[in-house]
Amino acid sequence: MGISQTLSRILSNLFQNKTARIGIYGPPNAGKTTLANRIAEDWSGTVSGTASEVPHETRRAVRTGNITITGSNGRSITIDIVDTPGVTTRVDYKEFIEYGIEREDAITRAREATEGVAEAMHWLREDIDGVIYMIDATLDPFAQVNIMMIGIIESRKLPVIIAANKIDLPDAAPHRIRTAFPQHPVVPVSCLDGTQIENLYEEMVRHFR
Amino acid sequence: MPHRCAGCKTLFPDARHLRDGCPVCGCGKFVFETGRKRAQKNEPLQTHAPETPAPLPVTPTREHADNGLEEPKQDSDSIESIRILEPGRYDLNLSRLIETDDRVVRVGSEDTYHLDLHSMVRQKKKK
Repeated sequence: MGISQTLSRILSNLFQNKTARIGIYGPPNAGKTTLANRIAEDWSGTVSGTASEVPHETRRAVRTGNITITGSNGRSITIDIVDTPGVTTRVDYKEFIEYGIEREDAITRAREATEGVAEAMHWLREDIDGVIYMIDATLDPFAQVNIMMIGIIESRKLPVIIAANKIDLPDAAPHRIRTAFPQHPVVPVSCLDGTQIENLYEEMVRHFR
Repeated sequence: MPHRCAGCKTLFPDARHLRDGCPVCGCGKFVFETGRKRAQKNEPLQTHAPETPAPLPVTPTREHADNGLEEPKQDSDSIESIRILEPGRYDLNLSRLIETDDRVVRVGSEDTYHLDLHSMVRQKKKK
């Protein structure tokens, strides 16, 4: 690290000019990377990671820094977005074999996905200031992992917005997510085609500091 | 995963009542409770609801229903952070993983534990 970078970091810490880190959490295939990419594209013209229908495509946390989002009232927030690996209570290599991945590669992928979950939990404990929790609105929101993760986020007193994703699909039911987690703001959204994404940005500006 | 009813404060060992509400008072709100909190209160778990009909089972997610997997039961009092069922199959204890980076790995169904000493002696990050 150069002297100028070190000095910049010291001065930044000294004046508490810390950018809030917002973690995108949720089970595999909820659309976390699609959202991270959309935020990065919409507000900084970059791409965060590669989205895929294969679960656990993201196996390391990916941070996109210094994204400034401006709400309709003119208020702005500058944040780092952290796209995290999908959180689950079980990883099974057989899931990957169903997507045509060879057994040895599937076992390696499962090990990496397990390390990814541990890394996601580490970030949540050490480095995250707020959470966008993604739930696939076509699935049952009462999945054990959702209940556990919302509970863990609440216990750490982190601000959270729940994104009810995939409302472009016909069997999406975002109202079930509202019923399941009435204590948190729930924003129905399609990260794939951008439907109601502006509502999520408005909520982020309102909710995160 | 223990949950406490926000209405009557009854503590339940798992999430089975989250959908239909508390069988004691009918309240629909629950508070997630870690094993550490419970230990501090020195309070036993309410293992079954008193004189109430059996609740409906929680519907499995489509993902798990499709591939025939059952979600592993999470015990917040278990000491392992990761359990290796076989190469490529893992159960993850999220409650343990959020508390510490220390890795205690349980192997198979037997009570054989591997401790990752490197993770335990690694310098903790200063906040």
